[in-house]
Amino acid sequence: MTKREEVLKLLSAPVRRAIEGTGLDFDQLQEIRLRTEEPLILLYRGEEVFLSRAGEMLTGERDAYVVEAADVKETLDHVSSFSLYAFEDEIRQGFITVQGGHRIGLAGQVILEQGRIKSVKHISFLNIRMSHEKKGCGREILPYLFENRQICHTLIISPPGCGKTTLLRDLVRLLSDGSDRFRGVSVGVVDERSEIGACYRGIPQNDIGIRTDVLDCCPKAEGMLMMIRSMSPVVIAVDEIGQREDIDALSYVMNCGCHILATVHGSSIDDIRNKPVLRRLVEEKRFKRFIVLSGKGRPGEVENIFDDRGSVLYPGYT
Amino acid sequence: MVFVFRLSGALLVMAACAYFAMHMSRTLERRKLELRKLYSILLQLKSEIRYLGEPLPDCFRKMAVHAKEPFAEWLSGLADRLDSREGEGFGRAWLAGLSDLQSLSAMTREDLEPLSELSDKLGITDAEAQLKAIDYALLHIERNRTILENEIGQKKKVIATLSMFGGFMTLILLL
Repeated sequence: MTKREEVLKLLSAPVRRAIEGTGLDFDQLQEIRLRTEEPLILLYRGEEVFLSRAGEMLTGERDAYVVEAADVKETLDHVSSFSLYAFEDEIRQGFITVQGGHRIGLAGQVILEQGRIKSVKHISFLNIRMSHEKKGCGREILPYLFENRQICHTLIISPPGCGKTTLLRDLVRLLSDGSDRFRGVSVGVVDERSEIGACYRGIPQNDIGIRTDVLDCCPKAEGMLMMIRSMSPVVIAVDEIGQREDIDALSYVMNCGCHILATVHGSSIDDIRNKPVLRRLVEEKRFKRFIVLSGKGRPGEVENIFDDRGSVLYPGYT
Repeated sequence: MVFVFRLSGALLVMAACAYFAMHMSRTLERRKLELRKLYSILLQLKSEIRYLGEPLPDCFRKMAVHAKEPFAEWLSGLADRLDSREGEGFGRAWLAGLSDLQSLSAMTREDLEPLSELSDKLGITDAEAQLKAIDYALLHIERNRTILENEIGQKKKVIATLSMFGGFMTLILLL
């Protein structure tokens, strides 16, 4: 199924007709935003575009197609295959991953139970975000992850939205597939927010390699231990560590002889040292490589790679 | 010669009436069996929702594999209808599916009435509310089945008596 078909089948009939009329290049389409009783907005080639009912692209909201409550409901029906109950956990997290790895963000009235989010009702806002894999973005830095032909425990440090998950996904794929310079290894991905593999009904929609196993929507700490017990991976990959239990699980995994590939929010190694929970791992030199993303260039652009002594191995983007 | 024709006509009328009675009795038996199968299908749907949490089209397709006719056709048709996403909501697809089922089966409209009430209750966020709605439908189906089981013997006798009586009356009129 092409990206165009994957996306169009999710939409309500009137919105589908409007988008079909445009002749959009779906590889350049980033987002479709449906807000009840507000104009239909697309993020296309990095620009905001409005659409008329006939599918004409407009720069202003005048004459733009206004999304109705029925459009949101029908889209939600299609996204959930008429079965919202089957996506209770995803709704609680605020998004549903669909075929093709596209992610449907949703917002409405939050239902709380004992101070915790139980569900979301009256969903009136949808954001359909297209999946865009950036295959090959980790190829250049991959050799720096090895020392004496061994994979090093690696921490990717990046501010939000700078491509750390994109880079992690590509590194997972490269390690899993292998190349003529090194053999592929089995990689266990603990994908708590379903962002790395973007699993749809248990099957990764992103290419994460031929030797990769995924524990989808699983809490990181428990997932890492489960992975070790059940799949005996050589490398375990996790996104956005930061809780105390994550760090304890990481230490356990490292002691088991598995190699860690993890990401964390931050802007530098010093930034990580200042975080009480993560400081211990840096000071004990558990991680042998630190990849710092710049956030200045393209998503996934590497600023520096450091070793555990703080020496720069890769100067990267300057 | 005339007597022979009359006799064969009379036999034909009686045979037709007996066939009618048999057909009606068989329909009643089929209805009883189908109500029992419908009950077990709903029980299965309940456990699919409760324990597996799979989307409805997938549940229907999976159940269609193990179900017998007319339920297999009904369930797979329903799954196809939902997957086609032709703009009709779940409620409409469900009701259309029920009307297909009624035409394929021996069950009456009253038998399927509890199911039509599920049209706006399945597929919603709250799984517990759905399970309760299914329980309610199960209760009605069970009640309909019990009533039918209690009355089926009597109904069969009435059908047989009326058919024979009808046959004799027709014979008297013809002769």
